[in-house]
Amino acid sequence: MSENNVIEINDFTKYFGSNCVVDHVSFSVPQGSIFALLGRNGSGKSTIIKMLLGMIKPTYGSASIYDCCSTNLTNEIRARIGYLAEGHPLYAWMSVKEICHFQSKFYPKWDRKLCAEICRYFHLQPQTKVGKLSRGERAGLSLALTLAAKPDLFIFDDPMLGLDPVASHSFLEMMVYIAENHKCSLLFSSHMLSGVERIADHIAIIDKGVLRVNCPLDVFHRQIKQVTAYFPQSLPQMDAFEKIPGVLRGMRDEQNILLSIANYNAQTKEMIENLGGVDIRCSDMPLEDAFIDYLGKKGMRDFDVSQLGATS
Amino acid sequence: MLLDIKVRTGSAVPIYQQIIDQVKRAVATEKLSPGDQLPSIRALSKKLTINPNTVTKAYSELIREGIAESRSGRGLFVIERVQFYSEEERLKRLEAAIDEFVNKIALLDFATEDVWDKLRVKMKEISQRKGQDE
Repeated sequence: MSENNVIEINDFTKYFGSNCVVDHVSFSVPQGSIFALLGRNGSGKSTIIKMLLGMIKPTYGSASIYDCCSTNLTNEIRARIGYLAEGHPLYAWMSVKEICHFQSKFYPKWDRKLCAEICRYFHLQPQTKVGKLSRGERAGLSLALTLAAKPDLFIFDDPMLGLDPVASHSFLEMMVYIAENHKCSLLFSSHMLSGVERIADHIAIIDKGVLRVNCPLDVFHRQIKQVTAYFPQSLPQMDAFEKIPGVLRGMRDEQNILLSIANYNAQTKEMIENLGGVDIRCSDMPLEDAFIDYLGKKGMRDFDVSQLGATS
Repeated sequence: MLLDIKVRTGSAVPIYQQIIDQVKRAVATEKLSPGDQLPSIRALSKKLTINPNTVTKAYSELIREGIAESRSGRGLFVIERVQFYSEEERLKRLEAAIDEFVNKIALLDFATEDVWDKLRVKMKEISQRKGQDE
């Protein structure tokens, strides 16, 4: 393993029965990075995280955290990992104060002051029962419990799921706090693209169990372009465009086409020209659109503006 | 702080590029003058709730392009503006900017004259602002 990686995943594969949910996934998380694991619901993100932490066994493949095999994590390594499970499950019958005290007993490096500060930040009252907290408050509490243990590596499974904008913003602020400390690394899964755009420096995209993208965020952002072209003669058949490498999606009317293209380059442009396209223009697109086009339904669609108006 | 940097998610422009663009614009319109200090990486990443590496990336680019310099231990400062680009590069950048602009407004169906008027007002604002401080 390279010295600079805190997590190495090698050929992770998981079958539930005959159903393959994770398919030969390999990637590594560099030291100090904020790594976002993206994908649609059911794409296998949580399964990857659970296998990584040794909670379920991969069908084949392996992973290591700080050079320690996932299936056999030592207590020393576990103490260095701050894990937030999806939905922030906590003991409902304890009070905020009790659960903080309870948790502190497991971690030698426990930072009481930090725990109290984060609780205050999320406006948590010490006497409130955990079961009475709102989802946002519970997320804040589990974050306090995780951060106060002073881990070096944070693993968050969809931490902002179901949080309101204010709570998820507070959560993001805490993630900036983590990012400031260059010794810490963070792997998190999410659907909240605006949050990912703010905080992540590296992304991996999983689609139906297969790793489709693994690169710095801004590389992904820059690689997917929106390209428009005008066809003075008639527009070729749709499948002609689908043959161009990198084409993700297209929309057209009689003489214009709008394509989303990954890795757009001079060659791609030439292929559009060869189909009779002129006035080819290329522009950047928002991260969320790029993500949707990358993972959404492929292929071409016709659009007809007059039909859109017909519903009113 | 003279300069209020803001970023927007969901834009086609990556966040680090938004920061670069705003600093450059502020320098071009002389809202920022040589010697002015830019916010620290930590302060800006906190204020904008973004990864500090993103700010670092934007600042490195500003240094590389000769717009700001890092003074050891004290932060990043705007430096005396020299023409950053060769004549050829200036022209290339102008054309790229115009292309982007034209692409964006093509679908808005404004009459060319209206676009000219708006553009003239904006250009005038920039040259006036430059003139004022001298």
